[in-house]
Amino acid sequence: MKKIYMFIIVLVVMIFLTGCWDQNIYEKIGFILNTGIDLGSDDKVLITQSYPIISETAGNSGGGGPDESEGIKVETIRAKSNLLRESREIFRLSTSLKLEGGKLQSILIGSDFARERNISEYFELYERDIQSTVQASVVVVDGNASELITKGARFKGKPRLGIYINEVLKRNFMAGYCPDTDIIEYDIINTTPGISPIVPMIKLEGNNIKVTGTALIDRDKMTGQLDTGETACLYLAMGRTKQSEIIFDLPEDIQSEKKKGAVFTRKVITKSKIKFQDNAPTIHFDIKPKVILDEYTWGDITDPEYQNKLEESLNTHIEKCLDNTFKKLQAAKCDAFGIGDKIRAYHYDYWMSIGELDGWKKIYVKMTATFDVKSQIVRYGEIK
Amino acid sequence: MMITRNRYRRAENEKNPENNIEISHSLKDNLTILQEQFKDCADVVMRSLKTAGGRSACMIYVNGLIDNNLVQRDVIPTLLSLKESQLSELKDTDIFPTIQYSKVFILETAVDYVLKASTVILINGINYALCFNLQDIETRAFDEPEVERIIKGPHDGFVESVAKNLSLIRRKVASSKLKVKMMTLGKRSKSDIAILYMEDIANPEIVRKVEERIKNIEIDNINGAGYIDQLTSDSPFSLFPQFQGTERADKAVANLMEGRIVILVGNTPVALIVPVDFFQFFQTPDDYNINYFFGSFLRLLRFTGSAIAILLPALYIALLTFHYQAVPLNLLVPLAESRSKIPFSPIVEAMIMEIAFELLREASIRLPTSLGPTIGIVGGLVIGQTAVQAGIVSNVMVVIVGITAIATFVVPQYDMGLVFRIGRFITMISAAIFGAVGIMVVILFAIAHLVTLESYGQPYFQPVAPFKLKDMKDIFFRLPLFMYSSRPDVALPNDKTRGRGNSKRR
Amino acid sequence: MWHCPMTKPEGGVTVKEDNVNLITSKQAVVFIMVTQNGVGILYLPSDMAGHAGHDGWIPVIISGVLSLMVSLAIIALCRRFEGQSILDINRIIFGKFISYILNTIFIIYLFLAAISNLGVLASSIGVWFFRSTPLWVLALYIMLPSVYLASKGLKGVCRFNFLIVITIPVLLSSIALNIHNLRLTNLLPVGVHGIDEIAEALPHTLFAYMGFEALLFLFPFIKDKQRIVKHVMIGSITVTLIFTGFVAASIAVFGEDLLAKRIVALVGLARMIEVPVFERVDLYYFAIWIAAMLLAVNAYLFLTFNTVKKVFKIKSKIILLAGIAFIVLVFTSKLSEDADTIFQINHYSGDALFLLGVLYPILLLIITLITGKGVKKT
Repeated sequence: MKKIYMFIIVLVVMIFLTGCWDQNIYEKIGFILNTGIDLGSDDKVLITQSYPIISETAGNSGGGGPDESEGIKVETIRAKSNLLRESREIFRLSTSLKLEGGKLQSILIGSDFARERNISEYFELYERDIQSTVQASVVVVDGNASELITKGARFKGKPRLGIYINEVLKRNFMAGYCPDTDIIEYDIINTTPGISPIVPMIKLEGNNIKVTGTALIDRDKMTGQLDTGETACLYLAMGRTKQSEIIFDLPEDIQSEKKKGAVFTRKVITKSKIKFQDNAPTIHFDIKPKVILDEYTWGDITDPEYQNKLEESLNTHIEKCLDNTFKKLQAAKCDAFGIGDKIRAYHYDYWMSIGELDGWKKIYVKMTATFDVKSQIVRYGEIK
Repeated sequence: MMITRNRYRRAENEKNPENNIEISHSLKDNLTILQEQFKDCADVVMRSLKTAGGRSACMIYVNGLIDNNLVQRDVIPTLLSLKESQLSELKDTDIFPTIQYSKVFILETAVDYVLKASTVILINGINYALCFNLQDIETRAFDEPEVERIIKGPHDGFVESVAKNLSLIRRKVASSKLKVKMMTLGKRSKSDIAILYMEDIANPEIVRKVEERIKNIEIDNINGAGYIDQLTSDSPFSLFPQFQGTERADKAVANLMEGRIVILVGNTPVALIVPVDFFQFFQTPDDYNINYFFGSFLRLLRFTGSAIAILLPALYIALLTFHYQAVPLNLLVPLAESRSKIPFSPIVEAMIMEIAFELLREASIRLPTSLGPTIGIVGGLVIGQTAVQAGIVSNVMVVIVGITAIATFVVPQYDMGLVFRIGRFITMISAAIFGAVGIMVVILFAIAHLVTLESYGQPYFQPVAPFKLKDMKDIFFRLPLFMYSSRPDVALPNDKTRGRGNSKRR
Repeated sequence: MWHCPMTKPEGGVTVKEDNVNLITSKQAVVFIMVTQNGVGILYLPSDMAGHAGHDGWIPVIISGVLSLMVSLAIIALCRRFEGQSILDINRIIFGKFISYILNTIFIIYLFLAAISNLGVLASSIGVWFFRSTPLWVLALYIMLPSVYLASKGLKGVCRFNFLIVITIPVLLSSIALNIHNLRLTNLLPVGVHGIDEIAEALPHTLFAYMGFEALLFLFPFIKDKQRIVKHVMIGSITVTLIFTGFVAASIAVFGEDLLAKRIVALVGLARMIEVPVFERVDLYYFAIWIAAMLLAVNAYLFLTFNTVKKVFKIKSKIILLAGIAFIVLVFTSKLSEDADTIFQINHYSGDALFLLGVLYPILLLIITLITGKGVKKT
């Protein structure tokens, strides 16, 4: 009996020693950190990818004077093709490292591509392949994504491109100046009728990459944009507390050369209500931000009349900003608040009667939204 | 299986007529046989004497084992002044003024007594031998064992004599319910075995099983407690220890109080405790002497350490060989940089470092104490650092191996620590073949084995499986002592309460 | 090493070793829960979203209630025959020859269940981790703990099921860590997809609830039969709540369209979780879920082994176990290469479950109630 056990065990072990099919040795992989998609000629797209260079000298700190070629920390590569996979195979024909997209940090979409093609078409790859990540940020580039990646890879004195873009986006998202949408969020919101995704926008400026605000998406194409101030107000209206600085005009009777003041949002509570008037919906927002006074001029904030005046001008500023923002949203047919979604959930008959999504887009453009901002300055720092 | 085979051999031996020779009345006949047996045994002394009544007598003893003073003072004078008339009374009355004194009728037993440090006296004309157990055997003092140190608590440990160990335990448990059963084991070594249990707590069925299994051992020589462990366990092929060995007396007593059985083995300071469960190996007596919060912290630390010891190198190999996407972003490039200098694949690199450390550890046991720590520092720092600079291993690997090595020492019991040391290698190989799935399969297989293992009929992995909530208070953390009102189920104790309220509840 | 007290077999198929393999009713219920909570949960949310839209959780809860009722019917049936298994009951009602055929049909069903469970497990490993490795290597490797446990008997399998304490919290944590992604509006308005869509989705839930028919085979092993009803109710309600909660949460996170396009909701949820140090925890979720699926494979492997041993009265355990493992392995690797074949087999298992696990016991129960056949209680 024992001999049979031995034989079986040896047989089994021999099977496993014949080699491993799926090994993916770590240091032989080139981690793609950024992918850029632009429109190319004759219906193809231009794919740019950047991956960090792992060199033996790159790890040493303060080594002997590096010349131009050794200072490169990121390699970029680009090709024209129809598919992301096809381009990756083209790249693999010439790179020494095996390119893999499992650690992708952000996918940069050129603005021309975003306006003409369906964005989520190219996300399908990341959803299908389980090794790849769906937590990469979706970013629209104001301009050419390929140019941004190629120039950004050569930046001196800045961290590697993927990490640099990550950090800039993350910080500004916490401040409310741009949204933070990753691939899976984009897909979820895109496939839900009645709400549209919004995507951060960046721009190459000299030797820096700058966040310019939000790109508005309607049915998978970019249709408009907001700047950073408007995005901050948008988050206030959504009721999401961000650490943004809001710059507002000082009331007229305050003498100051600065003419503006700044507050820091601490917490915001928003209630929105959808009402129907003559079979048309209107939405009303009640926004109550609690702010901390950050910078304005020497004055006496403890004087209640003074405080009221400041709060008044802050309210007017935010309301005006929100009106502008909502008009831009309507012009772009981008329903960032998800009003259509709420109508579908709570007023299903109305939703069906207007013809679902297509009908909603027509009605959305004509909707009225009223904003009622009641801000409260809760703290003001060390001096009055 | 080994036990049943031995049963047949044992029956054969008992039929051997040589072992049943009776002592004859003639001294000469007895001496002839004894001289044949003790031929060339230079340390066995056979001294002839003549009693006062003119009879010849012979004193047989082993030089160096007996207490010369006591024999000279109490035995020899009485023997020399033995009158003829006293001879017939010898059988019924006590003439010799000694504490331990027995009469033997079988020659082989007398030989055993001589070899066990007794002085045996044969007198011409009587058909029994007188045996006096007056020994003077050198043993060391009760010292705290080196590998089982604790901070707060008694520092006495067992020594190499069963009698002295018994005395140590008896000192700590002043109860007549502490029962001791003595046996001899080993055909040639004839070592003493003592089985201790508390009569009103321990389960009599388990006591009976232990006795039976030990009686059925057929072996020449018991060299250490480990022999008994391996010859009587339920699953001899299993990697996991099925006996707990300890040199500490307080640990043995604590286990007696839980209804377990302690086996003392002659000539070895290690006592064996049965039945065991898996989580016992992570407990030390220190846990109970300190505050419950810190005791729980230390327990959890031990479990974490064991988990790290098995998983960390395997996880490193699995991530670097198959699952690059699970490496955190901040570690991504530095790790790739340090790995790019290494010509070996992760599994080879890990094996080199692990085997080097195992060699170092095994060698450092045999080094004299003056060299030991030095080699440790030299080995760890210099060799590790040089290996990194030579480009044989990466610095992350050295850190991992260092942490793992320390983590394996966290397990209090040596036997269980060995399991984790070997388990680490198995997991590493499995991770190199199948990545994270390989690690899972090995762990699941180990759990499957643990769950079906039994120690004297008791499940090994309780109270986790089968789940016993009231025993969980002592496993992953140590609840305050006032909550300990019942004994754990492992030994199926008769008296479930620890001396509180009603006893004798089933 | 089992010391088997000899009991006189009453002319049935019960073997003396059964008297040692006794388990409590709690363990039996955990056995059932573990079988249900392994493989079915993977495809359930997307199946439901595909058939019933955002009301996909309604068929799940209806199915759960139905499975509870069928379990109670099975208990009633087995109790009428003084706690014997379905194999003996067949024998008593139909006589020796026909019961032989019926028992063989049950054995084929158990094989099918084992193959479909192992197939899902092996192909999941293939999809999640290893694309190029041949499937039979994966299936062989992952089956090793199962085969070992099956050789140790029912007690081993039941003790191993303590791992359910780890797998269910992992499932729930995949939802808990995604709470900020739950959108309640995805589930509203309730009931918009009509009764017909919900009814159409019901047969697809069968594969998920597969496991309650194990009660037919486990009944003779249970020590405290009087508590089985209470424990079965608790177990069944727990599993129903878990399934419903998971399906509802998946719909809430993904929305009906996106969920219908996915295959395994757990994978999607795990990939969305962001954790500070580790960044991507989906690897660990998959690894732990492999353990959960293995528990289900364990259960069916053991049941197959035990039933074949009893029906065909085979003495040599090792050869039988090796044989069964080999058959399961061969069929699994042949059939699991193609993703579509796996779904087909799951569907067939669900249908077979309906026939043998739902209709058949109810039929037998009705027969015994009418004809009064059944061991009279003394």
